[in-house]
Amino acid sequence: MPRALGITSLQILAAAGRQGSYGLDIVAQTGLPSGTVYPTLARLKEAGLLRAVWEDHRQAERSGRPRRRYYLLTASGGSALAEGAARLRTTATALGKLAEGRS
Amino acid sequence: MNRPGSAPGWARRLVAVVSWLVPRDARAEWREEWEGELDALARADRSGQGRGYPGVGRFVAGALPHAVWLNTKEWTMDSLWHDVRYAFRGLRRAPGFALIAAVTLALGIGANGLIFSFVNGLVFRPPVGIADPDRLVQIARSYDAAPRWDSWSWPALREIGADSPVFAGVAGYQDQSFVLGRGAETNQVAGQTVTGGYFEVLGVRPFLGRLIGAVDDVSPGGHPVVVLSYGLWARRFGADTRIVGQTVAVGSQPYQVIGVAPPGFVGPDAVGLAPEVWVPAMQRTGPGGRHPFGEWRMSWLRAVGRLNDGVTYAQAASAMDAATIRLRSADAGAEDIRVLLAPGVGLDPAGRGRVEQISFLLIGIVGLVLLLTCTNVANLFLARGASRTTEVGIRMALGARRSRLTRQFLTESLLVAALATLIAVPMVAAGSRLLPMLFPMALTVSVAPDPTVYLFLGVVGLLAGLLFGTAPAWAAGAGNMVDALRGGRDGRGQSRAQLREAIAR
Repeated sequence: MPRALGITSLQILAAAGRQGSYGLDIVAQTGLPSGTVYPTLARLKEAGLLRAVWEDHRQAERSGRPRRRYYLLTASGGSALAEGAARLRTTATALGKLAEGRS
Repeated sequence: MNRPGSAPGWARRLVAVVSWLVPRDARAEWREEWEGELDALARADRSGQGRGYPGVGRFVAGALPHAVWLNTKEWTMDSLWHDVRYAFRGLRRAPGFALIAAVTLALGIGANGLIFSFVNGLVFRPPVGIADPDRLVQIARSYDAAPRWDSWSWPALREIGADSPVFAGVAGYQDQSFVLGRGAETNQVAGQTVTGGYFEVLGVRPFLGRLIGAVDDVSPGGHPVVVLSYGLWARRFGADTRIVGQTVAVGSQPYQVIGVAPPGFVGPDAVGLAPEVWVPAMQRTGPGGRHPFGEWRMSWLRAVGRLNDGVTYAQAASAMDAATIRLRSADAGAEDIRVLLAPGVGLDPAGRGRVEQISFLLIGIVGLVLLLTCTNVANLFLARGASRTTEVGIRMALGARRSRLTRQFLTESLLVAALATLIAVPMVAAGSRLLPMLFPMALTVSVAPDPTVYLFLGVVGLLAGLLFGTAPAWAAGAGNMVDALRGGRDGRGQSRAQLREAIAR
């Protein structure tokens, strides 16, 4: 992905995780509106940072509900998340130092 | 297994409707995902485990941006530019077709633009030279027993304006024709006699010299001064800046020119003859040469007022009850006289009603004309599309998606609509000069197109392009590749023929 990921994308990647989460769960975890989460999920999937997997029919039937679509981090998604988290940490450290210097 | 009914019906229906925005190849999965999520949300809500979950309404609202994103993800600038170039090349190969379609459509778009330009000039556009016209009101005389919209006598107008908390100023004016000049240079011009507050209430600034003011409102017959319109000054006096202070003959009497009004200023009225001179109302004489300034029975001044800062129109209208009571006690002969207000200037309420009636009728007619032209152009495009089945088939065989073909055909339609809009612009400009001649009243204001009209033309052009382009675009995307490559005698040919028939009906 050519552009650095924003906080919203990183939040969604982190919520999806390597185990995978479905859309509603990611909405609840991040507190972001569904109108942001679903288009971002589609964009991250398009960029190859997430992959979407349908739950097995039999598993869903056993639970007595419709099957779910899970979003999981890909390898490049994991790297992008790690890189983004490191960038945020650096930014947070720099901001912290700046704030201490001012006080 | 899906268990319908566990999520609210309206939310499922919304998802079903929005799903039509999703590209066909992704639609089934998109719908299954959203229905599944709604089901999960409803279950969590029922079991009390929905902590952190949004409400159904807030959640399902996200379906629309999701569907739109999927629909438009291929719409990069590159691909849009490619579509435009492809459409342009296609139309250049058939210039006759493109020109006939564009001219046909331009007639419909132009007719709509012309009527809008007329209504815009007459009703919506603020009068030239007048400051804050939305703070102005028209003030009229009426009677409880015989309602009307009428003018005022000098003393009554003074009474309305006196110590009124709602008006910053009240002014009166009367249309009158004047004989200007002497000897061979004599000619009759339209003008107005105006009270001292007229230009101040309207917020007009002079182009040259000064305008009529309170100092010209003092003694009957004692203010032989005149303000010229910019047009008259330029036409008759050669735009001579030394005109101020010179004397001209008005009705064979010498009047001193005190100033020139700003260009385009024609007073507060949109209909009638555009005034070219203004003289103080104090110069007005009544029957038998008597001055009418003490006459309660002689009504000759139309009135306009400017609302005080912070006063709303509703407050001003209700304050007119107090003005009515004052007038009734002052004017013993008219016990049921009433002061009426109307917002804005330009047209009085009756004139506004007539113009609105005529406008609605004309808008209905030209709207129908546009619909007919769109139908005709849609038919032209469908007929052309029928001869392009092989091209469509080849593009599908090369991997073009249906949505891409639909977009391609829609781009062609929009390109023709853009060309039609460009052709419509000079048509509207020319028509706006002719249309006032057909109007039953003379107009003081210009109904020439302005940026608002050009914006309107753009919007109508875009809507027309979408309207006539949808059917051919849908037909282009609804085909079958193998049948199309066979040469057009196919299912799609039939569906296209059915569509053509449906439109023709």
